[in-house]
Amino acid sequence: MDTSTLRQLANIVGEEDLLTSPEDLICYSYDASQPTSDQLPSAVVNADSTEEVAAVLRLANRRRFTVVPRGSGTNLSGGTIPVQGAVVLNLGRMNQILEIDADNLTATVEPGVITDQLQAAVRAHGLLYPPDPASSSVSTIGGNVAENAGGLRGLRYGVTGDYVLGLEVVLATGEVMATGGKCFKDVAGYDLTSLFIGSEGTLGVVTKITVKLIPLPQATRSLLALYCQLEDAARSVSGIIAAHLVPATLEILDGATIRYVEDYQGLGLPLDLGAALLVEVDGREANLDQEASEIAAICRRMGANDVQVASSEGEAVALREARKAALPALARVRPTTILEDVTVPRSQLPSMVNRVRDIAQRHDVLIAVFGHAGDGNLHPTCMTDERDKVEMVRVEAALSEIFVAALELGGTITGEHGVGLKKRPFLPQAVGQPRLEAMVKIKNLLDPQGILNPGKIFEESRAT
Amino acid sequence: MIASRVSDLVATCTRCGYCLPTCPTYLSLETERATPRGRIALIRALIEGRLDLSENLAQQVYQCLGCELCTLTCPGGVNIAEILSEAKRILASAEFLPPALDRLRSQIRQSGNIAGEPGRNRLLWGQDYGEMLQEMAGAKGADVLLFMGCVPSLFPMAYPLLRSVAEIMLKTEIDFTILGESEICCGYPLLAAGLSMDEQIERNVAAIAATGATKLVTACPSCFHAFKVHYPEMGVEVWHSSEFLAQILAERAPALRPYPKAVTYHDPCDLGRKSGIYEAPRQVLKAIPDLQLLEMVANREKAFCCGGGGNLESIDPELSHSIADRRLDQALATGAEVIASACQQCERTLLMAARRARAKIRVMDVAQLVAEAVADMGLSHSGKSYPTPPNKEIVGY
Repeated sequence: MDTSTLRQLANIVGEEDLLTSPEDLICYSYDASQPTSDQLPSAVVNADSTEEVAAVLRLANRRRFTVVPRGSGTNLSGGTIPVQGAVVLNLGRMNQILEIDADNLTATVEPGVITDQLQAAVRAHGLLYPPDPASSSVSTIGGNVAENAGGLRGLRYGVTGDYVLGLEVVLATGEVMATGGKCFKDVAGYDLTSLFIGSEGTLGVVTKITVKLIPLPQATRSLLALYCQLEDAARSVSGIIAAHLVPATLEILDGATIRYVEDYQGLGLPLDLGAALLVEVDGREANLDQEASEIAAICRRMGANDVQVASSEGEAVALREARKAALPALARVRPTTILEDVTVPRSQLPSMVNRVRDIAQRHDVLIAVFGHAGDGNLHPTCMTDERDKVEMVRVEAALSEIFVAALELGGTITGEHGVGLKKRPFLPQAVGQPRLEAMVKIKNLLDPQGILNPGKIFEESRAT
Repeated sequence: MIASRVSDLVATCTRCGYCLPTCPTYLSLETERATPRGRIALIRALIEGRLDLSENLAQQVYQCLGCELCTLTCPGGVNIAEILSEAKRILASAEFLPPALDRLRSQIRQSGNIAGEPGRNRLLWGQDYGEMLQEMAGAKGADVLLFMGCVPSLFPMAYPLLRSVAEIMLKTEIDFTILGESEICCGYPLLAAGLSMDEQIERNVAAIAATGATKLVTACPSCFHAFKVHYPEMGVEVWHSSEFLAQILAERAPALRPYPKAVTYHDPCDLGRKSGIYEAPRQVLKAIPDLQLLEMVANREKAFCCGGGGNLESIDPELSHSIADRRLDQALATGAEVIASACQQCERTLLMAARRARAKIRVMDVAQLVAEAVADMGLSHSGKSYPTPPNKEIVGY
């Protein structure tokens, strides 16, 4: 990047907030996606205000450099890898909770607010911000919006996008636009809020977010059901839903995951299990025992060989342990952990898990599956070593087949991690040509010079 | 150049970022190079030949407090502490040691202690005991060796800690000895800088063995951790003073005066997370009548560093202070009137933070609290009486 552009960037954000040392560039060359695909940015700028963001984007248009907006860099899709020497626009310092409006049940925040910090702040008002991505202790609300992050509570409460009422967005051209506000109903024209949710930093930079909140559920009950047969666990999920019970959390671990968890934590789980379900119901205290026992009865009827219902918070913590230990257990098996993300219609869960198992065996790679059974969102997790190039060829082949299998079962290639770089090759097959073309047209219209997060979601857009 | 084990460790970081909110330097500096994830990325780039050794790199690596909260939290179980230790070793051997640590190295080499003072100053803390300490030094036959440590014996602000421990031992008639003016540094500050502590180990092992003591007690968690983890088996039991006090209180049940104040306990990293001692200091506090023990949200293995970890305070005082300020806020949030700890370094950094904030909270060692509580007991040691040293509290108003 030429020195005069760097000087202008420094004029916008201040000398101290323009980072160009080799060490800083390395530290903003990656995100949490695996295998690693680091690319050095040409510079990093820390933005402190909407005005600074707008000025950086205007300069980018004038000087023709590309910009990658970034929060905490926890995304798993390669979404914040600065390809082509882009400038990283770090929004982590715009981290103020601007307002918690307990009368209107809304909160307005800057994009760099950490998800857990928002959760804790609204909890103090007896309120809940439900989206709970696993990385909530690190991830930012801006990043959650950009990726439309989900989480464990998706079945009952939905995902990030279901809670966004309005955004302040700096468009690629540097203009500032507000979409929506505190109104729970707003059909004044196109739903532009939704357009930016999950847009992965390719259409604009979100600089303010208004989310809706709900009353904090009074209490929670937890159950753990263990199955010899995966199919019985899947039938339990269907049975629970069919009984019009909507747990907050309905998580599944496959047999392989359970064995790795047992190796790691020694929780005393049988090693011949086909699956385990962690179910959590929440709501009014008075209803919960009844709901929990109905769910336990369904699980037993569907073939669970053991159902444990926690009668205290201490027991609940113990029941959650297996699910909580899933990722740490798998991450310890091999150096590289590729956490994949596919979604299928709920009824196809057992087929999907079985196909993953077959694919892993055929390609001789280690893959275990856990995920959000309630909403059909599974995380096939591949344990490998990215330094072993021969094995990585097999891994890539296996993962490709998993995405194709999800599509064949009526599912999709990503439920909550986004497309970014990693899923880009599979998008055309997932969405079809007309939908892809519509996306490219929107991109070209809002970002005519292609400066925002180029190469993410689809190939360099103007070439299409 | 870099041990292949470290290359393997570096490769296990999946960059999930779960370490970020655990890292005190990141919370203060809010930039990726001040995160465990960022430091590992830099070391990986070094291994892969994409980055050269430089002062810039040294700054990032030596900023690490070595508090190890990241290592505890990492979902993949990556031994981040070992990666950082190895990086420091490489930087130090290539002479990219920060100037403050270079000075520290010379001082320890030349004078045997981190203060760079002559050994004869080692016993100034106990001047009020007259010649007792000099007579005691090197005496054979005592069961217990009190290893004084550089900071408690050479930095006046920490004297009350050592005086309190000695006082309680005297009052409860524990037969103990000290190495006296010939005591040298345990070597841990060198190890934390990426340097060798072999010479210190060799000399200390010999000196400790010569006393014939079966128990080594030290009030310094860093010395304690070094003896426990980094020294070879010495044939002596290594006790931290808080453990020793807990034992004394349990076995001898001395009458204790009430201390009707709300106290929060700060877990020192070297004592807690790195050595597994969480309960002994709490048992000591709970033994004091009317003392109300309040826990900070981040307690025991999740405790947040005081900012005094590693050698940060000598390299980057401003950063160290901002970390201490954060921990002070956590302590103040409990409503406690006193922060008790079991480490002279934590006590100093928290005391200075309290002073900066003009916060109305005292900072004391658990040993000081006990020494105050047992103040009414009779004075005797091997039949001799001795003057009671002024046991001033460290007060952080």
